[in-house]
Amino acid sequence: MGSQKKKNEKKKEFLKPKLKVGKTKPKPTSYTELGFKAKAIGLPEQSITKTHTSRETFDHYVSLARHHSHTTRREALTYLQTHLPEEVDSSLFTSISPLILDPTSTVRAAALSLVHAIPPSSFAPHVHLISLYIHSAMTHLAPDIRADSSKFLLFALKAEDADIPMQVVTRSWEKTLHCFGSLLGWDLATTPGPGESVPAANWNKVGNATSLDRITNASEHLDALSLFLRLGLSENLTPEMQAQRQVPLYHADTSKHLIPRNTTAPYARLNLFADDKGRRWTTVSSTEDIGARYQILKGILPGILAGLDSGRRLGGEIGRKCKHLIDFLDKVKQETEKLQ
Amino acid sequence: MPKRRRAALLPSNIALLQNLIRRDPGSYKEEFLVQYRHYAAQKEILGTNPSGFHDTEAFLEQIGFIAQVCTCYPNETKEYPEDLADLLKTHHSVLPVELREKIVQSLVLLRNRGIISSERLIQVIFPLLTSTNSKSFRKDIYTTLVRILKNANRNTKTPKLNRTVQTLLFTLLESTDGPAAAPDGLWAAKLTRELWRRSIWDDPRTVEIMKQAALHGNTKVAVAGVSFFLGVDRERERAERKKRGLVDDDESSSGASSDDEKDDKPQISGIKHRMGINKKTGKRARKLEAAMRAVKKKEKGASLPTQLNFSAIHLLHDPQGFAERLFSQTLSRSSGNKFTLEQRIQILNLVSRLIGVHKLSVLGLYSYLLKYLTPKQRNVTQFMAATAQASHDLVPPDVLSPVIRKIADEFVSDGVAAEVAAAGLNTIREILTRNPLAIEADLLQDLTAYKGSKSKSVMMAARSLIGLYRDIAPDMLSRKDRGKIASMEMSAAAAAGEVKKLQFGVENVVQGIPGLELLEKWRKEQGLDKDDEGAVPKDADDDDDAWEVDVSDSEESDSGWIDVESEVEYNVSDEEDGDDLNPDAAEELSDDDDDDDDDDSDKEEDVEDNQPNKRVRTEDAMQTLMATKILTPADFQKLDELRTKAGLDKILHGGKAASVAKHEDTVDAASLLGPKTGKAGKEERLAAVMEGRQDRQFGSKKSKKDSQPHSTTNKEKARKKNFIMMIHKRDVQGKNKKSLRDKQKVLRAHIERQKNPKRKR
Repeated sequence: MGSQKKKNEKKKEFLKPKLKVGKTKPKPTSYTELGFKAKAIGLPEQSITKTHTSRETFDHYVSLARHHSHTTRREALTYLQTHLPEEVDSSLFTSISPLILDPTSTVRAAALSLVHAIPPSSFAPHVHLISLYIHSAMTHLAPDIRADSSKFLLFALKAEDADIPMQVVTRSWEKTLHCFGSLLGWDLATTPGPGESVPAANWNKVGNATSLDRITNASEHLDALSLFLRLGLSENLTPEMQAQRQVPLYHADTSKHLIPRNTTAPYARLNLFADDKGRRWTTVSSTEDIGARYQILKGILPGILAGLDSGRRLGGEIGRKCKHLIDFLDKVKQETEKLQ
Repeated sequence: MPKRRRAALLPSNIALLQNLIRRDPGSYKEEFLVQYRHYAAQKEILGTNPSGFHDTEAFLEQIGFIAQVCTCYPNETKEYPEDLADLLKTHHSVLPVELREKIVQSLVLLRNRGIISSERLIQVIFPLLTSTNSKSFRKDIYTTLVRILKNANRNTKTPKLNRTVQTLLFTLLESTDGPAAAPDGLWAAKLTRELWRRSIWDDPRTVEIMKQAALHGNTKVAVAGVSFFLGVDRERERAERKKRGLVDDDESSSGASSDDEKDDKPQISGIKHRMGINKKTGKRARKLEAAMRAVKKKEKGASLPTQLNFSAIHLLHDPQGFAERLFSQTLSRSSGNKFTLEQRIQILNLVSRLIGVHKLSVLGLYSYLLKYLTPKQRNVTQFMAATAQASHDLVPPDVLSPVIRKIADEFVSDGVAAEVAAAGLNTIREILTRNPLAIEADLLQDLTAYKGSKSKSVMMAARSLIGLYRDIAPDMLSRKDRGKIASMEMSAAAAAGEVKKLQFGVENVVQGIPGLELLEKWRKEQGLDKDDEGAVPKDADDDDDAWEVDVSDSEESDSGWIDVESEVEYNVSDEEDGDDLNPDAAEELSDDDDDDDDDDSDKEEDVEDNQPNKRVRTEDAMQTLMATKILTPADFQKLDELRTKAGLDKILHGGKAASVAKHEDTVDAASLLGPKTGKAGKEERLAAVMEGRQDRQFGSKKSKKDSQPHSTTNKEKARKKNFIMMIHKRDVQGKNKKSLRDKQKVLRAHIERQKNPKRKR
């Protein structure tokens, strides 16, 4: 049946609209308005085959270096290593330096090889940051991270650019020595009184579980230590280093107006940085010359010597390295005492 | 081998290491140093890039660990507290939130362990309160500060710490004051208010801080200061009462004290429960006794008044200067329109309270008020209340009379609504109670003519004005308004030639305690005067009790006393019978007999007939009582009672009710409108209904229970149980074996339920 109203409506649908002259044609019911109003129209470039610039991909991989999955991190590092640009900026360093402390050993290895690949010239300004992380690795809680720390330190000390090892040595001499103490299980903090002997170092604590590992770890640490000490305490610099440290003299009196070279912190008496007073672990001590470095070393020398002595008794490779180091330290001691 | 494995785990298992270090610090020093070095290295990395620090969680753990075991290695961790303070100071805005919180927590822990002083801790965290951007951090610091101060002042006040903090607050207020005043001072106001509310600070220095805040250039701070003076004492009282009532819903305080309180009750109930269940042994009984004793001791301690609580307004130093500065800085025209009307009313309220309480003279205020005293003014009742509060008997009448004239002109005339007229009359009455000289007789008589008004509220207001002047100065009223008693007294005074006239600046000097003779008389009646004989032990106890006034107690004793009174009467008449119940009283009386005959006869007369014309020699009574007795609060309460009784008697017998000067009282703006007459409107009725409903909940118990999350009930379980499991049970089988009658009953009930499902069985 249906209502009258419905019937009428149905009828209307089939009526032909009457067109009139001078009037616009009525729009069909199914008409869709397509116009729109906008103050501005932005047309983004759309392309399926978008090519990322190498820079963008590089940045992307830099961010992936802090990914939570360790495989991704490792892959990102290998990518970065193969696609290293000429000039490396600081963002790379801030993101890869925490990887020195990475819990996964493969990532650390990848980080080490990446660091090796970076050109030393761009590496130099970031030595301080890297050395902070190296120190953290040396005092880290996880033994395997501790074990790997020397690899990074050795890299920094052996770098081609002479400025890099000098920065490490001069800016964080004391701290690095103390870190070695904790790394090798030597007690450097307490100075024994006269007649007391320093307790023998615990070589079992060095490095990881297996004894072979322990030996290699210890020998690596000792390598780093000996290189560090040699760099810090011997005057025979490489010619490059000497060249760098040489200041051209334009005038006979130039040297008088320069900051005195052979003393550390010549203006220390002015007490400009009172804030740093009495902090042993936390500040970068400025140890620019051998004399100052030796003064610092003297305080902890008994501890180091005792540790080396116990290492020498072990024999083997470690024993040999310890012996060399002891000889070197003895020589340095004699020389400096002769000077004074 | 377990030991070695444990050692291997140590570097990562901080909780275990902490436990071991606690037991034997010496042996685990090496392990601790490993942790400490790691912490130091991490801290330096954090220092270079605080916002991008990636290993926050481990670092958090380490900070907490070192703070916990700091006491075991004082030499190695000498720099630790300062390191934390430095971190917080330099990087607080960029540090991750949890880390920031942890550092504050660790610092508090260090303070609790006594490694750093409270002063140092407050010096570290207080500046952060204003410098940080984070709201939650600010709140944290604020609660920490309050807790430190609360704990420090728990047993005894620590003036040194309090002074340090107060100085910090002072400097905060001062440094932020000036032309571009910052709202940082608000924190000072807030902290002070909170500490005052908890009665941690209650000295004049605190009040000085708030005074500084009230005069602060920033509007918010100033209003905070003003509202402190207006409202905080009531707040404190409420908090105190809550504490006394041992209601432990102290919302924001999470200090140890509330924890202690919470601990006790379950302990006792637990012990009692165990006593009920377990074997009863002497040991357990003793335990219960000890616990009960401890709780009682605590309650007693809680009920002791800890300090004299003066109100903040009374503790003000130099109230005159304060009121003047407040008025000139905030209210007078030169200050501009910095404040909204509501704020100005608040400030005005404070200024008038100050003037009233301390009887100050800030004469500019009255002419300032003139402007606002018109019926069209918004919130005019508040202004009127302020006017009343600001008047006292030392305000010159010629300053106050224009105000009264203005109110009379604007409010009390034929053309205005009844409510307005009532409000005007009530305000005038309030002003005149405080300063009766501020009106001329003509104007007064004009106003009292409204006693014949048709509106009840106006009529009552006018009558109250008449009543007031009958007491103070009946000669200013028109002849027929004076009333019988007042005119009789007037004529008597005229006959005696000692016509009293009100004079400005003449204060009625009170000699001694008014109504003391009443107390003396009462004591004699009760036979309580036996200080000469040496105290009986039981009475000594009574005396102790008398120092604490308990309302309910006194009520009871009142009803008790009436009985005793009648007994005493009998005892006096037949003393020789000797079968009295009150040996003390008897003894006392016999003593008096021996001592002094006159006294005795006096007393007998007093006791036997309650005639008003018999007078106790007032001065003698005062002398004896004041010389021999220290009045306890209970005595004062009794004195109050007696005074009111005597006052009533006086009125009944044609005496003059003493009008008590009440310049310290606040005037409630709502009361100025007079009593509400007539039917309430719909809105008011609804409001009243809603108020009644506020704490009640409607709906069935079951629906409430069901809405709560709960485990399956037994009923639900039974319903869901497998039928096969139930089929042989009596619940089911019994249905078949039911008698016909029972079956019918069930069926009927079912049909009923079907018909009316809403009704329950």
